[in-house]
Amino acid sequence: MAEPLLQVSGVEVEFPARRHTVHAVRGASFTLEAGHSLAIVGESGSGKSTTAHAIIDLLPGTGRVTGGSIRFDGQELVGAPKKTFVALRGAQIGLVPQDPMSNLNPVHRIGRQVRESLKANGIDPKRSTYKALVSLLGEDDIPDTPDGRLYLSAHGRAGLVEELRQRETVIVAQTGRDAFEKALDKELVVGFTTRMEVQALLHRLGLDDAAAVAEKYVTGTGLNDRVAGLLAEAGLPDAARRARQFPHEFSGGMRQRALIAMALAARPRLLIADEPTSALDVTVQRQILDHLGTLTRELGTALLFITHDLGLAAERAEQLVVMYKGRVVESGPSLELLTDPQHPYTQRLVRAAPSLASRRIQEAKEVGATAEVISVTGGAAKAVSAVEPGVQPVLHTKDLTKVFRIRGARPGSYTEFTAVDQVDIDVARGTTAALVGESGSGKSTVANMVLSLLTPTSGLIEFEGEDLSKLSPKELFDFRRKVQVVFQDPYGSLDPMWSIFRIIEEPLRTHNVGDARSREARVLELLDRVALPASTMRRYPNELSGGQRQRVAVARALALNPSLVVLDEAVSALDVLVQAQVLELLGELQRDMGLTYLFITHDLAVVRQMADWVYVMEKGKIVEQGPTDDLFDHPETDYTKRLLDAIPGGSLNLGGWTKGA
Amino acid sequence: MPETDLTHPVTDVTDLATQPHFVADWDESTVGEIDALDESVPPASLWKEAGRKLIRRPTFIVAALMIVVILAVTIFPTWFSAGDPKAGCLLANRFGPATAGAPLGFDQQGCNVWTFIVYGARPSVLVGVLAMLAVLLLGGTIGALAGWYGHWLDAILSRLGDIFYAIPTVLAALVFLNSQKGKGGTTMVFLVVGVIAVFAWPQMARITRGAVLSVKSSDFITASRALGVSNRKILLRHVLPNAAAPMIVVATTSLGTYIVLEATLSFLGLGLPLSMHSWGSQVASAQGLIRNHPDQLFYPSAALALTVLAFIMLGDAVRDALDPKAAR
Repeated sequence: MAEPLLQVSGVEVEFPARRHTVHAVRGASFTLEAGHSLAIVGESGSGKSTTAHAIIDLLPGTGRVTGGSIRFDGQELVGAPKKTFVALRGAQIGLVPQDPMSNLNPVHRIGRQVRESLKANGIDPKRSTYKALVSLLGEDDIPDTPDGRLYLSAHGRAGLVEELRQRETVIVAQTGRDAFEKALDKELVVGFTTRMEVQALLHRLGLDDAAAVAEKYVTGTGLNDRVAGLLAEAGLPDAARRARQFPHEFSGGMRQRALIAMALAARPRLLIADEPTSALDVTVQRQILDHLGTLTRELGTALLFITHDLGLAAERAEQLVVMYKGRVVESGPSLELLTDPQHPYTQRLVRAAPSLASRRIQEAKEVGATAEVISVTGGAAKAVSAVEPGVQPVLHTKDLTKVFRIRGARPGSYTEFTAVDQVDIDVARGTTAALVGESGSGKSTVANMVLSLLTPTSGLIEFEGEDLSKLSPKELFDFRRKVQVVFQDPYGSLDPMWSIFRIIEEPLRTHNVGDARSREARVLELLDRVALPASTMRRYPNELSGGQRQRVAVARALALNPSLVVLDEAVSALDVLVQAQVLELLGELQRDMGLTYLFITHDLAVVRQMADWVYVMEKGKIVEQGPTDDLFDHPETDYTKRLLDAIPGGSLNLGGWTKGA
Repeated sequence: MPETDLTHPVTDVTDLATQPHFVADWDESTVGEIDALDESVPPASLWKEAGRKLIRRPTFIVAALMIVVILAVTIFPTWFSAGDPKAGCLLANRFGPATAGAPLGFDQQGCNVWTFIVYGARPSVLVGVLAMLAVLLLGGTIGALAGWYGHWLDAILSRLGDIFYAIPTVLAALVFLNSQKGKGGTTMVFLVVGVIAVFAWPQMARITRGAVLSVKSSDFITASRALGVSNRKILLRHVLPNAAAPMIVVATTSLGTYIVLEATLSFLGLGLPLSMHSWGSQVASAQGLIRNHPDQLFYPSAALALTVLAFIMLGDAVRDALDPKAAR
């Protein structure tokens, strides 16, 4: 058997620090065959990114590989000179970095940055260069460009289009107008369509002299055309114009596509994708991953995928490597790992991953299983409307609208932006209503208005039957006692200067509840509720992990026995296991204390485990609503369908519950 | 190595058994309790952490030692020298060499130079510290109000700061103090402090405003607002403590500049009266002797320079310890 493309064995990575050395990776081993795909899965700090960066010698700071061996294409990389890596990077191994926002140079045009990745690897698709080379070698035929193709140039395309227009009547007569227009419109992409493809297309259009025409017009491209082609290949529409734009004119998804174009520009044999989509909206994430998968398969590029999402990894890669605290705890074929995890850590991870849990519920339903499947809320009876008729909802909004003024170019001028557009929401006591949408859908604006931190432009918010806009300052103060909030960022939501005791005591003190001693007793009780030891109260937020901080935030929210808790992306920033733990805690608290949650999130997989009723928001409007199960089983709008499709792991067959298995 | 086979689309997972299913040894200790709190580490606040970092810095140790000595000299000058510098001046000792009681020799009037230097510390440090406190109070309050309440208040206060920033402090002090000549020592101390505070607050206000603005957008502020905590209480309890670090850094670093400013004014004869023996006025009276007795000019200048250096070093060390990027 030939040597695998990438063989990592027993790799150790250390970060020497003044006090003690951090062993970020301890004896990681895995193998990736050419043209195949492998995913490294783990939570933050597991060493997954460090392992990947060790392969291309891009370890940050003081990090260095201290042991083991990394063989790429038969070449030992551990201890190799810098020159080796410079030659490998880009040309042989491409990298799609994690954060599309900070990985493009804001002062250079996108096209220039893609061009750089071509130039840096010595790729000049210009035909003239090869012509010179050919005459030098004394050969007749023009050789292929380094990546094996000759591309259509902008000039060539113009000529070809003109040629086709002249023969329009003939072609339309043979193949119909649609095929002709489609060919002109979509199938001739500058810098992307090859001579062979043009020839095939012309042949399909019924031209007798397809080969001659193709040879005449497809003569290779200059750098700029090729850059546009690469961007088009990465899925950017209108690539030639886009190439002249700056990164700030691009959305996150478009930037990530540009980065993919750069990584694949030199046709590397291995592509490392380091959490390429975790900063993007779910639907964009899916598009980009689909595209990346198709591209790497077509180009025969091996894909090393790094992610924290087990479902995503299993769906996108053939092999899985699970890392925990710098060690590989389990590795093997994806499905086998999911259906039959052996290591206790993998088992936990498989149990906790929301995408997989969601998939399991789906599969269980397909065979008609009942509610004993994983559901944090414990399978409460599902209602037909958000609120039973005649029962007063905890929260009720009617035609809730918020319009923001965006300052215009001239002083005093402004444009209006409707962030929330006539939103009607009802949340019944003791249930969880989820408000789902992507970034910019207006869901957080709704949350802020419900919390009375923002004044609605128009519309009604009723809390326990009282109109929020008519509350006196005194009543508003009482309202604040009954409605609490938990925010997304566990690092920002606790005052770093305050001890945990003071943080949890603040609501009690603000609302003059009890005396000093009874408040302390209450803080201890709350800490116990969120499963933190009593000694936590003398600590400060900077000493706690993200999950622990989030539990403190939950304790603070519960201090005043609220009627409604707004969870604004409360678990989105947490690692999978910790996320599952916090979700479980929230479910438990709801059962014990009859809490009502308004759960605001972009993550439908989590919603499936948490919510009783789901509202789907798009561009400020509620586009669909219904009981969780109904909505997941029979989504009606395209938007909801797209959101559901975007849950990773949807195509997985986890076995066990499926009929055929 | 053959080229990758493009005709082999990978669809069926089962034909890919390139890697056996690997499972690491079960070691229960490696898979701990999820997200458990490590109770063995003693609790520490950000301030404590900063303090711990601070005392390990050589810059801080040197600066702190110097400042302890300077403060001791300021508060208890009699520990270091024999009483009133004016007493025991003998013209016979004019420019006399160093003796046991006068390690720096004698000046034009036959007075003990060392005693003068020791007694000169008090007015300099006093003006520096008082001016710093006044700037902290004035600039801090204005900056905090501008940053926290924003809108038109911010616009007005910021522009007001710009106006004061545009006036050269020394020039303004010259004009103002010139009309106050001949007042008593204590009055002059407060006048000088007042002048410095009035013209140096914009820098502190700007820093405070920036710090308050960055804290203002934090989630914990929103959380407190959602709890119903009043605006004023949020500002005092949450915002100011979190904005304190940059304020402290600027205050310590600029203390040195205020001491220099006092010396400048006293040198020009507009600051503290001669009777207070400020280093500035000592430099002024020695300036005529620069050719024949440069040491007379050197000693007060050196004392001034060392004091300023000590406070600026302290400011630097504090900045490094409180650096938000180094924290977390």
